[in-house]
Amino acid sequence: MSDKIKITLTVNGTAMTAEVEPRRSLADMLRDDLRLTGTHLGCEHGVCGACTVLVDGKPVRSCLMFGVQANGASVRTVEGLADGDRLHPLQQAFWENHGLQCGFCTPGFLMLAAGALEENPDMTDEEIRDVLSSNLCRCTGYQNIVKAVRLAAEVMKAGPAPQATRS
Amino acid sequence: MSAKKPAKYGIGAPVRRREDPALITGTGRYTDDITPDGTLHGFVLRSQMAHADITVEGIDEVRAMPGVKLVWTAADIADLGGLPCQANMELADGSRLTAPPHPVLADGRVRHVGDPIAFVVAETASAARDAAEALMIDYDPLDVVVDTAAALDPDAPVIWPEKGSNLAFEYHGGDAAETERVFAGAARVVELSLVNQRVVANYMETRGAIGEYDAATGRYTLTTGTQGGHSMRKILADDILKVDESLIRVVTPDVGGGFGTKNFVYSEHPLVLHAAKTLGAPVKWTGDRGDHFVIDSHGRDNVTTGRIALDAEGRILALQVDLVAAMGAYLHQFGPFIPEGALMMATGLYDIPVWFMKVRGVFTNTTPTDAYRGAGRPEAAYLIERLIDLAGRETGLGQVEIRRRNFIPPQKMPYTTVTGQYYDSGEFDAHLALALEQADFDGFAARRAKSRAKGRLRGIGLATYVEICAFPGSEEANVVLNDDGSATLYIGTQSNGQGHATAYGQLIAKYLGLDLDKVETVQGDTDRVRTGEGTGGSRSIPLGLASVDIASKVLVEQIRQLAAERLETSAADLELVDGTVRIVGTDRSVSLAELAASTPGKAKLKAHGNFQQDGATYPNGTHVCEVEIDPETGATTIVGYTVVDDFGVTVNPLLLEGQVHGGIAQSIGQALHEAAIYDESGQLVTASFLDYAMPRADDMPSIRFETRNVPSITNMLGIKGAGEAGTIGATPAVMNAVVDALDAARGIRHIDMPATPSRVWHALNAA
Amino acid sequence: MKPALFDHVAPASIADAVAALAGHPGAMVIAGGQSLLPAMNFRLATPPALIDISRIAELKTLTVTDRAVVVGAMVRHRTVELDPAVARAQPLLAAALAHVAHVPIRNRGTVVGSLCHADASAEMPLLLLLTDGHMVVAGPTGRRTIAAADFFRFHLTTSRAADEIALEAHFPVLPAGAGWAFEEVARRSGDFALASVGVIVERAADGTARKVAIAAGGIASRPIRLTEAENALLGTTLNDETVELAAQAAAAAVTAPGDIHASAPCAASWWRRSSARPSPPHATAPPPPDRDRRRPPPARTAPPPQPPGSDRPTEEDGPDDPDPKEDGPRNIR
Repeated sequence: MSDKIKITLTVNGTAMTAEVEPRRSLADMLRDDLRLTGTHLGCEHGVCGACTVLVDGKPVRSCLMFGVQANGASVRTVEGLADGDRLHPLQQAFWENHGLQCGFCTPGFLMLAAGALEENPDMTDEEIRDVLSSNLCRCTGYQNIVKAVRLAAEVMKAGPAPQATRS
Repeated sequence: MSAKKPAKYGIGAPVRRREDPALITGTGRYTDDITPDGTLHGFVLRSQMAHADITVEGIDEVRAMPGVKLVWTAADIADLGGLPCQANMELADGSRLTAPPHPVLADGRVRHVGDPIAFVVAETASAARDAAEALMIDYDPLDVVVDTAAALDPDAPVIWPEKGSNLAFEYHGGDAAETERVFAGAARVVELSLVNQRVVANYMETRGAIGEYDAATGRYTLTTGTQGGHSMRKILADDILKVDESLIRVVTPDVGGGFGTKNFVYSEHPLVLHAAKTLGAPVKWTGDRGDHFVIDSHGRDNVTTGRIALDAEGRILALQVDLVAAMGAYLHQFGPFIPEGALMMATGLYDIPVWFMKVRGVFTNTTPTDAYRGAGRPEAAYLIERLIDLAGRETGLGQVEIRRRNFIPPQKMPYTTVTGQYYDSGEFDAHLALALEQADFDGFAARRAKSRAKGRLRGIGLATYVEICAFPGSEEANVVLNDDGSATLYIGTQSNGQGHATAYGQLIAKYLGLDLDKVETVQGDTDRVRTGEGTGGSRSIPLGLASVDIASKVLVEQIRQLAAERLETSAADLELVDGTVRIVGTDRSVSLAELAASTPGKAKLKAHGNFQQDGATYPNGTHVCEVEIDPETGATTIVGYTVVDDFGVTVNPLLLEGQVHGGIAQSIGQALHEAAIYDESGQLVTASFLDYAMPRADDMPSIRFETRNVPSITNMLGIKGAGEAGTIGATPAVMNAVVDALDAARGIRHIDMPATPSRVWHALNAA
Repeated sequence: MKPALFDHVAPASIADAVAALAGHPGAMVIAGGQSLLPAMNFRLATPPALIDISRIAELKTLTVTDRAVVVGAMVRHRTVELDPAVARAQPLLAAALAHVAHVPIRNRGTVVGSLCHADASAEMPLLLLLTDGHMVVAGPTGRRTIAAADFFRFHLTTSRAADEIALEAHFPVLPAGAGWAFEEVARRSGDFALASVGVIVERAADGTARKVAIAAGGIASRPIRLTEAENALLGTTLNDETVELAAQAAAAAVTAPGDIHASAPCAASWWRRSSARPSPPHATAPPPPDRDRRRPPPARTAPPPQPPGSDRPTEEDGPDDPDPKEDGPRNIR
């Protein structure tokens, strides 16, 4: 029924429940019901990618998925990317290489890149640019985003090294 | 000694941004991230037709729907004023511009697709939309005009009958008779008609607004992404809500891009405030991408004919321009001002003695146009740079020599253009030379031959641009030393993602000897910041940073004096390091926190700066673009991109390069991909990202960027401003490169933007 | 952009799904939802109920047999694209999938969903037609098989009945020794195809082409086979001259629709270029084992879903007759 449906899922490693109308998108559910507003909505028709999150490890558009379809899934959002105070190498690289300006598209790019690098840690420059073409940014001209992902990939391949914290 | 390590802070330091830790961890706060307790949600029902008389039916039934709190049409908000146009400029006939009414909700007639008709507030956003869609709009269609070039045709339907035609205004610059005379005697005349097509800002964060009202105090609070809340507050108070300005607070949280278009008051701002007062609850409206495409002001949309008269040596004797600018269905807040930018900067960085320019603004049944990154300057640069490129081809002088022959030489600086602009500094031939070297211009012929061997057409294009920034004015800054030894800056510019808090903070950090994270910047709250002129026209750094510099120095002096007393020494022997004031060469010091706590009467240590700039600044530079075209598909690939800019002084090279990259991307978007296209009935057929082609990562080249700065003498710190520059130089550079390829292959000397595969293919197959 | 209200039904078996579909008039089936959700967000689609088939385990299987790649209705694009056994059995799938939108869309969208959506420019319908594949659907009266040639009616319309659910798609494996190609022209990488073409050529022992399949997308109201071009190559030795003749025949058979991105003759030229390219076809040696992690060609990607009414060809502006039987003669002339 169009009545609310109770679902359970894992978000950033924590089991959560939510009661949502079937028409509630995963993005709206994360933002409004679970108050995880780091996932942004830029177009709600699946093109801009600002809402990209990882569902069962894969980057997907959370505006093109109903919350009820995430029942039982494991979802990761930008809020879960850092390890406590220790930034993820992608976050660190975006910061150091000025990979963001207004920051609105950034969570989507971070999650897109995180998923892509988990699938293939050895992406070529061309493959990086190709996968980053999934999402839109209006501020940076993409050059520093591409650079940040490339450098983060190198850091991630080198293995866990002491990372600067966000302070 | 090896190369000097850059200073950690201060002007020129590549400081990574203070803003980023929040934004990369998902803890930024944009408008839609904020939902006060008890918030109700609004939905604006918009016109689906471009021009029609309307009646709204079913209002009572919709008001009775579950969860619906309020349904308004124009009649319900008759006490609200309309959206003002602030351009009351003098026109060619000596009169002052008057704007037709622009009601908050369309009153009986709609004039473009997206014109707001009704506002519905309900318990959830979905319920508000469900209810709004249950309203029945009876449209009685009227004839439609959408084509800018045809708006003044005698048989065009007239949108504002009281104006007599679709001519919204006409203003002139220069000397018509003298220009005619020079043209009549010229050795050569080069003429070009071109279209600067309509584009859409498409910042990633669509607009939103939250209205709150405190019945006890009678005060309104508007939370919304802006480019500066103070000007918005004044319009809302004076023109629309008609209350005292002190009763309105505008709060600007994180802003996901603005590009000019978030400068303005839109209908939803007064609607959420008025609804919050009416309902006694916060009211939130979140625009979606569809709203953005049809209601947020569009950019560009000019149809222009330009002519230059040349002497036998290829020197420009005169410039003549006829520009028709689409205003849309209403005159938007700054709309009529925008072509003025094209007028002021029409002569570029060339020594042109005579000119005449006619600007006509016309009404069409389209979304109103207004400032979009560059706001008139890209239009000016595109015209003059395409014209000079054509002159280089027609005279045989080529694209480099024709420019060199016409540059304003350094020895003429400062130089007042015939359009009235005071270029305070610049060495145009020098940045051209450096850019040509960086781009290996001399090696182009060999690269073209290689491309030809692959069946590809290769072209190289230049743009030597100048623009106007930091219009005369000021932006006051107040710096306060807090009790914990940290500092807070209060300033009324407004970051939209440029990183102002970092640029300002890195200067304060240097003066006060603090880490950047001990310097907070307060912006975006009209209650906390007294005045503000907002962000726009690349003014925040030239004007704002100068005031920050003054305030910081004053504060440092106060701190030194106080510390000198405490340490019983001369202020001249003190240095500010690591949050302390120390006697140079000793370990005797007092911390800033101690000093702040010990001020007489617990008064805060604070300082004020207010740099007043009398003239504008003129960033300039050279863009070199190289393209390869596949003649079978018409697809253009940018294979090389080099920029050398004169920004006067570089404040933060990371931020600066980011501004250049982003500006170029928007400009490449306009040159090759983007266009807002209306069909004959006035439907915007490119109203989503499916049809409006935004540049993606793989559409962008790797940009080689350098500065060759010549400090401004107008600006206190020598800074010229950099927010628009990329957008201004890149469109002509890309199009000149495309034309270079097409000219070499088929003698094609003009093609309009966007140079899509289809358009290029047609040009090649028609030639 | 928030969808209208609907009921959500998530059956656990095919039988329950068929029953649910019958019990909810006007309901739509949702698998990956990458085309349906944008349409619902725009409120261009307002189904009263969605039958969500994601809980049906048997629809999640991807099987490679000696004869076909069998893709269950819940198998995602990306799963098929990266599957090494699929790449060995039918390399055209990975090649074409690389052109389907972008990775996040392919992570969620399904091959069968794309086939049922039947966008005239989409890659999967073209491929099913090219390979002479078929669909298996289930309805109240049982299961049936629908050949590709009978499945695609016109843009966004198939011969699947309203009370039927698509269960799987069968893509026959590439015949041993056959050559193949897939080419596409799009506005930007990842955009919907303005013109696309797939080719399979089998050669006889003497090197002449003994079987040729050429299918095109983005140029009509549904994917079409270019019989005349196929015939132009049959029995020849596939030299530049015969390939050029086939390309000419292909171009002549095309009536490309014009839209805001391309006029008709321009699109026809793009299409001609696409179809002229595939020579020489890829060799069919199985991909080396290290190939399995990533798709073979450098991928290009595109805006995903396409709501009705935008720039894609529709049944109104598609040039040819919706009845597939009348296409053959038209192409052969």
